[in-house]
Amino acid sequence: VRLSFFATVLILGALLGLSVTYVLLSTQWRGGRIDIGGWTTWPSSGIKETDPYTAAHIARSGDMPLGQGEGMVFVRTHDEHGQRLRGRCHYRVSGLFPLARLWTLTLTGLDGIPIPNPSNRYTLTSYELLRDAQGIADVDIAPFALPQNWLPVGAPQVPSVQAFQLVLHMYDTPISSAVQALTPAQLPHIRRVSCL
Amino acid sequence: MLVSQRIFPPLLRKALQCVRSVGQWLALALKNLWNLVRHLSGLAILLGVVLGVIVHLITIFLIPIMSQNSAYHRLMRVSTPYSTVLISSTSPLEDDPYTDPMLVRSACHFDLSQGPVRVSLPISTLIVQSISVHGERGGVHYAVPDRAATNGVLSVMIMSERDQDELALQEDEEATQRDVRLMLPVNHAFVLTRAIAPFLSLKEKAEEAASQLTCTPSPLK
Repeated sequence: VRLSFFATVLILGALLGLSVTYVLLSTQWRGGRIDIGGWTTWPSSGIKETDPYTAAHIARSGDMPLGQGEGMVFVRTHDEHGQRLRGRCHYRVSGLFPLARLWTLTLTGLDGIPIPNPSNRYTLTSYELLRDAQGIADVDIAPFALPQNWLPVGAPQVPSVQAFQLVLHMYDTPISSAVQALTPAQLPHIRRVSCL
Repeated sequence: MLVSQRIFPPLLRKALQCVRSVGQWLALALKNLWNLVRHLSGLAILLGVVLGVIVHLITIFLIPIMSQNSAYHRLMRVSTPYSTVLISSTSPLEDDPYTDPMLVRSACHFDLSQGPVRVSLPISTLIVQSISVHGERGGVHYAVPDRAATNGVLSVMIMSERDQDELALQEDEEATQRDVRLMLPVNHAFVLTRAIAPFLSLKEKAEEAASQLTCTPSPLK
């Protein structure tokens, strides 16, 4: 009894350790995560001496992260009121995009993979954005077609797209060295307009 | 006698035995668990938690060393050293979520113990391009934007610290001016180039730009 008792303690302890490792590496929680007004970024994944959690995550997933001087990735899953981005709703992205030589705004599923849609539009780049006379641009995200800057969420007749996320890639941007100083006002915000 | 009648009873007996042994095993495990709960002294909990923390830390530090799924290992499986492989949507390497649809990448891996490697990439004015150097374990050692290109070509010389010292002795003025020189603390690494198309119609152009990456071994004389 004594032996099996200790064996059980050992096994449970080891299982605890392994499961903590597994959970920490499988979720989006990992070291160096920064949240700015709902946009999440992991600036420490693009450096040489990163923290052990980020290093383990990169080695396990086989990612080839953007180097710190190359660009930055921001991800968001919620609107400005903290509600999950839903495929049934119409959202408007407005405000400032940080200075970058080129940025792309991509709509993906929660797994990070673009959601198929009939018009094959998955991303908008800073080059193709239509701007008004003041140089300000809004991006509409909706399951139905809209004029100007529109990113579709799946197909209107397929209500299968439950939740989605927005991925903002910025290339050759000066903010990567000063991401700690970034304020929410310097990033675009996203407002829900209506829901089907 | 039907065949089924002859086959089923032994099978059934086997299945019953199996269920019984699993049940016994479960009962034992439950008994142990019960023992654990009954004897649940602070010491046992402490022991379990400490062990858990140790196992967790060990696995976190071992994963980068042991992982066979790191980008370097995946690259090694699909290409030979110094050859450029395009990471397109059809390639087995492209299962990286969060990849930009406008982005095309290509990579080549090398071993610096064989001497320095010269990486060159012609720059296209329409495409945003960059080169990054990644170590075997996933760290990004350097990232060079296309603005560092001279005469339309981004040329980078990657070498080990030993080779850097060697080269400093036989200094060649012309070479220093031509290249961006990068020193790596590890021997096994790969170079990744990114080409980002500003418009979807330029994606083919980006693919062409990315595939023009060349890695040439250039051992010291």
